[in-house]
Amino acid sequence: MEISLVTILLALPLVGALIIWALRKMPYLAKHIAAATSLLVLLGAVYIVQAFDPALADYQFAQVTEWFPALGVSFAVGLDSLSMPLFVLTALLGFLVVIFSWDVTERAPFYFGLLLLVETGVMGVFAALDFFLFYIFWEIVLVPMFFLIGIWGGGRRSYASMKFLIYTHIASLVMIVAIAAMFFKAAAVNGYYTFMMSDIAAAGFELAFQVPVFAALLLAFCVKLPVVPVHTWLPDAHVEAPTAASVLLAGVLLKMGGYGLIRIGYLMHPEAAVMFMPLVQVLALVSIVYGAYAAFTQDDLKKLIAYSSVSHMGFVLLGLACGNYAGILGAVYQMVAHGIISAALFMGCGVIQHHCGTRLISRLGGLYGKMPMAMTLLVLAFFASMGIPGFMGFFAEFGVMFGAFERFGFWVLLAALGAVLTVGYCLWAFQRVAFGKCPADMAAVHDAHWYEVFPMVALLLIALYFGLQPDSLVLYMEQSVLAVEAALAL
Amino acid sequence: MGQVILLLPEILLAVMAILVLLLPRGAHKSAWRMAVVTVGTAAVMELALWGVDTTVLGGAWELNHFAVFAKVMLLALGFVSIIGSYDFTEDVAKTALGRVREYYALLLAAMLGLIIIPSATDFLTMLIAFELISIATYVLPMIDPENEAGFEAGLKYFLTGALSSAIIVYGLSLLYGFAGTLNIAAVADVVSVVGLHPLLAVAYALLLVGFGYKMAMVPMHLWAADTYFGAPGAVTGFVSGVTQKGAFIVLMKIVLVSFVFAPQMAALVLGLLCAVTMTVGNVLALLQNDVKRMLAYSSVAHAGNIPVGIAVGTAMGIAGSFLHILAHGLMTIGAFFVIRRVAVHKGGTTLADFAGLARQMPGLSAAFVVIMLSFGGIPPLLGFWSKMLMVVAAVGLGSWYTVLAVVLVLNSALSLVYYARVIRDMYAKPAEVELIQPVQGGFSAEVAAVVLAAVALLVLGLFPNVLTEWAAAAATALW
Repeated sequence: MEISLVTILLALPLVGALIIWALRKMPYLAKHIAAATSLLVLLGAVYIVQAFDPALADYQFAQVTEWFPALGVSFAVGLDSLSMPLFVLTALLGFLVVIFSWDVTERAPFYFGLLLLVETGVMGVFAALDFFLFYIFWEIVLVPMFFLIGIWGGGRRSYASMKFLIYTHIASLVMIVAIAAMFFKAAAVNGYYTFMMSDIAAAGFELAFQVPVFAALLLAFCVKLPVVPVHTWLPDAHVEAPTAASVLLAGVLLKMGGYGLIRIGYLMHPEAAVMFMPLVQVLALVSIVYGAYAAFTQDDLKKLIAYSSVSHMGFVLLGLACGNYAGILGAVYQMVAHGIISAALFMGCGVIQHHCGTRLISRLGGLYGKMPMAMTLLVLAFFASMGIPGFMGFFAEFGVMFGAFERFGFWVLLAALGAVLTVGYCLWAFQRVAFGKCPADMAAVHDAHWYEVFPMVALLLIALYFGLQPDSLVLYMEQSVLAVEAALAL
Repeated sequence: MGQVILLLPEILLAVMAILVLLLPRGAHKSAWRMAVVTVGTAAVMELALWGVDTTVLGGAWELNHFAVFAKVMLLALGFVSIIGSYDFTEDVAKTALGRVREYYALLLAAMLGLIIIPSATDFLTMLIAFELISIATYVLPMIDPENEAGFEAGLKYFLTGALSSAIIVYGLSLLYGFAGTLNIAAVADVVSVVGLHPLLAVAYALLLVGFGYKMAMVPMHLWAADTYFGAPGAVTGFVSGVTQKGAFIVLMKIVLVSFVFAPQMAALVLGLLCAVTMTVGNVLALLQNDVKRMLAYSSVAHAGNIPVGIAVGTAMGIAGSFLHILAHGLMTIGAFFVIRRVAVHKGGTTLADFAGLARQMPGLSAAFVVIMLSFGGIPPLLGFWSKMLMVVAAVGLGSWYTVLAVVLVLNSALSLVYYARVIRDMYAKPAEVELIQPVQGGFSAEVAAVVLAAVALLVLGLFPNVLTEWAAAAATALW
């Protein structure tokens, strides 16, 4: 049995978490073990990047081991150009959130163990090549996230964590029904039970079957993405979650929805996907505009960023709805871009919460003089989020708009409206937070700590690098973009 | 002589059950050791018979993959249960009567009856074996004279047990009157010739009702909640997790061997019973505020899950049933030991007693989480694979079996609500009740049994292949 590097990277955080829990009597060790493990994972991920052959459409670092042959379940993992960037993104954020959480002392072993567990779960979702494994990892993510929000969250944490669990769990159930339908359909065609994604996809589905299954998948993944009107769990979860959980939630958990939609929805049910395109387009535009509009009205900085996530993930959906090269590339690129930029934004928001004790914009002001470093980083993150050229968000949104113009013509102006609103709320929020008169109770505020600055700097540098050199990332995504485009055959 | 070797595990249990009784009065630790070693040895001896396919005692006793697999499984469950009983019997020893030797002797006698069932080729043998189990376990709930609820539990258990035995015997008398035989396989020949004659249908219904009582299927479940709740945790674990499982083996023989030629009607009735049982059990469990009572109802719900695979009747479905018997046995034994431990340390078993348990008893809580997740059917634990096998087998057959599969899945999702509630309270809430007895470090047989059950659920869940292959082989040996 050959063990792939991917398997090892999936197991590492799990082992780290178990070690942390075994040594729970020594809570001061927890963060060091977590940092060491996640750093190892990140190094492994970097190795994967440089060993990855971007010209291959096939899965690389693949491993297929039989697990439960009676039902055709196997432990199958591997990375292709769609999953590899997201896998590496998860490894990156997994490391950075541990650093960012350096001062967490409340039940530290439990906390850092859960962070590592989220990392395993999300990376597993991206790496799984077997539907069954995919579903297991998908569900594994929910549990630590539920605890992270429910234990270290804010005032309404109990409500938020239950809402998060119920919304996403119902979505998972819808998804498992769709997967079961595909499983039995493929078994009838193939003549044997299998959960391998490639085998099930190869069975080929007729349109009458694709339509209900795609509809179920669309619903399931739209909750995760999230798309208006099933987005309401997200602002609540974000507002109550601790910063590290928010970073993971926005940075990688939402991407599970986009990834699933492309991998299972679009690639396996292309004809139904084409049929549903108008609906997807409408949903995407509504999300973009509504998310941005709702962000405008928020007084809680974190809620504002949460709504901006809804708006930005709308671009992913819009890009997919285009079905052409530029749109799909934009969508895939946006997933990584938003993962990095929203992570930086949430960290910036976390710094403010941490040092000022509040995130309410109306109670903040004049912070630039108090914490110049944090505010500089925050404004850069806001710029990146607005899609200023030079940061990677620009390239992604530009690609999506380009593709949308080609497909839908001037309807793209609605998306542009969303982008304009984004500039508005970002600048307005930043202006109210950083400038003006500093409230009296903020007099003693001091600047961010090293462990808060370092992750933000790292993220912004990456956003800048891929903003200036988009080709270096596009290179790795190209094969999957071409595959989706070919499947849709518009 | 060859015949004796095949019967050695049974002989060993019978001899040891008597020898344990002859121990001096204070020797409770020796009684426990003897019981553990006996059941463990019997399990290993039985395992060595895997692959034997023969009948002995003039055809009254058969050994094949089915019988050996079922016996090893039941012995393994009994093994875990008896290991953990030590802490309980230490408490019993402190009471006025101190019936520790008797306790282990009864457990061994019950185990003896249990492993006769899979080998029985005749309904009468099976009935006698079942009576041996029942009579041995009737007094167990009352073994602790200080536990008042135990008397009610034991009495209810005894009365319904006697009633159900009467129903079974009446069913068998009809069967004998019509078919002229009580041989399990010979009945099938009669059914295949005459079809489902009304009299045979009545006999089938009576057997189903009678053993339905033993399995605690709705609407024959009314005794179960009170008995499981009132009996000491260790006893509940043994009755619900080990001896009750014998009834499912009987059910397999009735439905899949004797009435195999009337599959549609027999399976439909059973399937309906399953659907009602799981739904009622889960809804009632959902309403409970006491974790012990909740688990008692959850046992009822699982009594509806297990026969789904039997109703489906394909090798895959039966293998799923086998796996679920094993999984539910391990979960129940472990869970009720946890319940007993919590009752000892915190004085009660309500949800409030479980709040903040993770900080007070971290190791036990972690093992309990594994058990609860397996109850709820979360992959990759054993409780998941078993349900999954049954669901896939049911959908594979199509028609109304698909509905049954959907009911099973929905119930599984429903049950997760109350299991998750306990986990949430254990981990996310501060302690509401102080420990009335400090938790000591060091070895505890009870904790060891809980951990053993949890580890078994996890390991068998991670590597379910061999077990499933064996279960499938056992299922095919039925015909």
